[in-house]
Amino acid sequence: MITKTRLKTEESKEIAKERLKNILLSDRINVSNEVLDMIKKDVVDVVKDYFDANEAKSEVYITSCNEDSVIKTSLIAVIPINKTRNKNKND
Amino acid sequence: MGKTIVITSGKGGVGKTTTTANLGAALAMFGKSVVVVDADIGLRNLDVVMGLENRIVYNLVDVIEGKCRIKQALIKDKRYEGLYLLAAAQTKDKDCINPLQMKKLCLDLQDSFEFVLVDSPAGIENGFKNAIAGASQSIIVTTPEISAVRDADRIIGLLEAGGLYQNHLLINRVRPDLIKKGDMMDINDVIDILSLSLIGVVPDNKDIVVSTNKGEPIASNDKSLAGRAFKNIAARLMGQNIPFLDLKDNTSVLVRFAEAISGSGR
Repeated sequence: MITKTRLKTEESKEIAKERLKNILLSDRINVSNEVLDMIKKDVVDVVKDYFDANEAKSEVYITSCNEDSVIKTSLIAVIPINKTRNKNKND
Repeated sequence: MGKTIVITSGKGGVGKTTTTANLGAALAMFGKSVVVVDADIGLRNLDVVMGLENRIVYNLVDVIEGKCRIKQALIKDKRYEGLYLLAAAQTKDKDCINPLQMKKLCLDLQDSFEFVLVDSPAGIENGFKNAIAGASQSIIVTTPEISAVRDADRIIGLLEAGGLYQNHLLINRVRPDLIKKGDMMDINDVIDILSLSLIGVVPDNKDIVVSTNKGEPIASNDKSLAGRAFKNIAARLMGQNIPFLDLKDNTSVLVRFAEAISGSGR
């Protein structure tokens, strides 16, 4: 990705653009806890259609890591599942 | 009933005050009634850029505190029929007024003026919140530099969070020579990153320095490219569809940008 955009190696504006995009990505990703809670509720609701999801122990958060000086940002959802539906039947 | 437009940027020194002064003058030249309001309390400068610093008696804080009537505090710019200035206080600080008071002031001004242009202070604190309180539109001034664009992005977020969705982008201090060499982000780069509708591009121009020295808005100088750029922006604020300027007469680089922009403006 980075090599592609830096084909014209001497153009400092390409470096500026690349840096700016990374800066804005991490600036913009500063979502509030309220928004994260809303995402969590929606995600858990979808999962609940298939599994017995443990909403109380579920977590949704955003994490960034630096790979080759490119900041990669991901939304991580951890949703513990109590029992699968099949197991439920056996109980 | 007029409208209030806030001129803001986040970052300091990108040309908010120059933009406010010139858009005010240009709108007045088009026959509009305009008041420019300096909301940078404690660091007033709009009066100086406009060359009206010797005529200030009352200021915005005096009006809000009821020490005078609005009409007493408005300074008529004798060079432009219909242009008035409401100066900021120099001795107070930004916390001596609040957004509700500012909103009421803007509404009162809208009764008498077609355009109320509010020059916002830099930053995102109370001064900024006061400046945007009465506005229904904004002009976000940026330059093609990383720091200015980053701050503009933050400001757009804050404006939208404050319920202001009619936001226009003004790219100032554009250097066609640097863009041509690939050493400055071009207009499309900035628009892509901020995804905001462009209202104008103003070249970095020595005419602006000279006109600020003299206290004469550059918008009245048709020989200046920057002056023409401001006039065009004023016309666009009035709803006219004006093509973007070719910032360097002997190169086609910016024509191409401008054409691409006017075809794809969001």
